Amino acid sequence: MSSHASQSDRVSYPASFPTDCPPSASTPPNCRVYRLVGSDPPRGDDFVSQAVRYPGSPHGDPCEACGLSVFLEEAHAVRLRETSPALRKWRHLVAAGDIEPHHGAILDTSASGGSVGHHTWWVAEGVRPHELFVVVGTVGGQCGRAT
Amino acid sequence: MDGLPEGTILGPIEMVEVYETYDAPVLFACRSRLVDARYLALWVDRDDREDTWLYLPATARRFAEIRSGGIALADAFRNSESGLVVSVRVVRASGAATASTVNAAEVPDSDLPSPSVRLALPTATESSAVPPIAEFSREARTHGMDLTFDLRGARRTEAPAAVIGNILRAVQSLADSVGQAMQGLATERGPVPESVLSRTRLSVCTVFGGSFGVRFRTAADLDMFPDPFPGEVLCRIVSILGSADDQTKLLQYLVPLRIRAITSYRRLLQFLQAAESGVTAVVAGPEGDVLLRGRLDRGSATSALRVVSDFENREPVVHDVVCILVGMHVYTKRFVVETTEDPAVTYSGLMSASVLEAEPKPRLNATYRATIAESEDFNGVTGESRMQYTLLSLSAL
Repeated sequence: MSSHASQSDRVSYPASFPTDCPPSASTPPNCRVYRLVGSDPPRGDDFVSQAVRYPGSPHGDPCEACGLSVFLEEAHAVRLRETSPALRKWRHLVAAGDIEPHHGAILDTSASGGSVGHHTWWVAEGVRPHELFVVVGTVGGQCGRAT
Repeated sequence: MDGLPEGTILGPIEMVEVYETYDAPVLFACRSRLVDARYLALWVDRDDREDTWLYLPATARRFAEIRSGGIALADAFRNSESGLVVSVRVVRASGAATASTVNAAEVPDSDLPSPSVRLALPTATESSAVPPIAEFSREARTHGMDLTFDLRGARRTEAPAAVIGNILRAVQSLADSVGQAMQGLATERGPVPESVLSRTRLSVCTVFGGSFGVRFRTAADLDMFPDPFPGEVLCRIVSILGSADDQTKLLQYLVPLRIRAITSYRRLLQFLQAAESGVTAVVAGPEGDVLLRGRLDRGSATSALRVVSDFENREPVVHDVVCILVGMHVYTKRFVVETTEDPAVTYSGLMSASVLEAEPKPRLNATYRATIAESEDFNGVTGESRMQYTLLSLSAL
């Protein structure tokens, strides 16, 4: 698969991502994030984007469809799980992962995504995201721009 | 196609806004492209082949309530206005969708959001539906009072009728007895003069979310007869509520109002306790200004009830009256006397042992000086309260 660079010359993304995706407003991550997963330990299937899972279903923004939903606070992930019955059934565990600049780019998408604290993480090519995450209890998180 | 189902009974629909996302929207609002219809769509299940969604049809007003958090999401679906929700199954590979209506009451809990989850988005339509109390009072040229109850377990803009009915009745009764005392006309029982009632009468003019809010307005016509008194009565009530369980402040406000107002307030506290509710009160005047705010939380309501009850018990009400013994029964131990004053007051109840054992035995239709103790029997379940009288002594005149 070919790839193109974005923001950082060291990080590349799948060529299937649209132009300007990740968007210019995204930043290299350096923080702990939380994501709902269906198994412990998390599996690759827990980290498949909409664009890959349902390529024929252009739900909303095509760039955001290439990213993964993550939260900076566990409570926000828990709230999402309690809202959606499907997530309660299929993604009922909260996993935490420390992601770094070479893992991709992140953007606060709570305004477009609606969910409180919702961030989109575009996973850099070659990264196996499920290997970064572990199912957790209650912990806090912060996300600062990488220096 | 916008990722939304096509060719179903919903007709062509379009996305309005997304509330929750997990890689893709999982809770969002959409509307019909053809008719004035709105839906709240929730992702409820999936299997290897299909996703299942519930679409909740809602009027604009209901939608505003849901969006602003006035109704919990689960309750919104469970209590669909039409009694129905639409279940939509979408084949992921093709996008082909089928839809069917479902009785909302039969949707399993596992297909609904957790009970406590609600949206909490600023929603202009809600504030215009129920204007702030100050704005309302100015426009209606009245004194207004909002009471907002935080009923334990309430998850929507609804409340049990019996609970709210009891509380409303107690609030009116408190207003009457406070007004009566503030006019220097306090009595322990009997009708409150119409001259008082005409200035303390309250109307309920709307309810609102919160968990449950009631808006009162004074019934007095201020355009015809400008009168600050109804507002003063409401402010006194809010001051009493706002005293919470501060014994000094509470009694400072209550004692000058005499026993009837104290009893009325105790009754209101009992209803609040029975409903496991606190209350927030705001009073506004016809000039559009907020006159007073007060808050009595759930825990303080219980403590305040103890303070008020202790005060009542410390000073039992005893009546010393001249009366005619119009009925007595030694087996049932009941009596009836009628005072000689005009208008006559009738007391009936139980005779104490000393009266029953007294010699000579009391005679019917004879005139006596009677000592009668008054107590109140309150039924927290039915909300009914009844005065009880005990005949302590009879002295022949």
